[in-house]
Amino acid sequence: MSERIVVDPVTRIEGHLRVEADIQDGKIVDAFSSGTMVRGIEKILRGRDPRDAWAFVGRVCGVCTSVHSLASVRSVEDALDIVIPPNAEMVRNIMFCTQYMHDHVVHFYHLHALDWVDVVSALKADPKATSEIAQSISNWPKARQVIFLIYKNA
Amino acid sequence: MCVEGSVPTEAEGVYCMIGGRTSLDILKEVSANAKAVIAWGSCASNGCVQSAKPNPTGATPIHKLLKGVPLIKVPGCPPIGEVMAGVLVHIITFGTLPELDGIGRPKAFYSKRVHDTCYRRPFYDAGLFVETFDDDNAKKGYCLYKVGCKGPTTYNACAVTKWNNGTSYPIQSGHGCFGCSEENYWDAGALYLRNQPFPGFGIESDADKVGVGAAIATGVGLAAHAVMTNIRKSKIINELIKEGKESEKDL
Repeated sequence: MSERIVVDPVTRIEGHLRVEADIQDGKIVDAFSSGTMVRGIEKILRGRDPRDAWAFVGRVCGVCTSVHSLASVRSVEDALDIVIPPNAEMVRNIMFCTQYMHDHVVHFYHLHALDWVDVVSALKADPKATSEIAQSISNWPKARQVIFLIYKNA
Repeated sequence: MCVEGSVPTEAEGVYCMIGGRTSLDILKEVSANAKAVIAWGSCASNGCVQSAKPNPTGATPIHKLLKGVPLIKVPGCPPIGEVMAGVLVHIITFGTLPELDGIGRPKAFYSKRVHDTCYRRPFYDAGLFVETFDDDNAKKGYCLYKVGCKGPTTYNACAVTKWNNGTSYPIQSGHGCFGCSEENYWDAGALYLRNQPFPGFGIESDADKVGVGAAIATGVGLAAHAVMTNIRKSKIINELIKEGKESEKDL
């Protein structure tokens, strides 16, 4: 006899997700996931100017917008047999890498951090100990006791 | 209450389910005791991309679903961070809603067109345009109107606040504004087609004479939008003239 656990909504992600897991003797034996929102962007795109597709497709996600747009641009180029010059590829790669870093920061601080950081109790933190931890991992000039103290008392 | 996103209403709202409930159901419950509602972004303010034709899920902006509660629209895809913060700070500091324009946007940020505050505006006035994205004019930073810039029909603060701590904004990066804070912008003509001319008003009459063919192709919706924009624009100009005459009396 298995027990079903439902996690809905799955937080810490952009968008809406539902996961159902069947559990037997403490082990997951089967699992189902479903996106619980649909907007039909594929249908909306039909009949439009292919040069505009990236802008629609990017709106799939508000955190990793650029990769969806980039994928869309590549799809259009693939469909129309367009070969882009090496410089364009480089510019795109720079954009992609920038987005990669941005995405990780947004994902961690906006979506994930609440699993690890108790924002309210941060006010009780010791500025000295916090600055020592911060300085042990980075030389960021603002990771100083006095600055943390200012923020704490603000 | 702050709402992000539009609400799908087709098929009894099943296109957006959170924890087994429709988003419409949740919206109604949460808004019941709200002092005011802020519609964050173009989705909540005007439906945005999912409400573009044919709007398969019946995506509906918040002001069409909630009646009888004060509503502030903060459109933009995405809206500008400083604008969002500005709206909240105003409400928290003064305990009142900021002054809104005719369609519910805060006047402080949405009373000027991107075109009016654009640093490339002198090129527009001088008739110097980018013709294609890889021509010499693009390198010189000329006006992007002919390659689809929707700045002349878009009310927002992008050119003033800019983005990413004031680093840049689309036009500064060489791409036209596509009017993401305006209603129905996805269906208001292709992104890289020249904006609709504004016939009959003469406010932009110094712009080059735009082809009639383009006017036919871009359709009635856009024309209506351009007309509305110009009505608003001429209203603003008339008010400014009146204000100028009033202040002259004091001289």
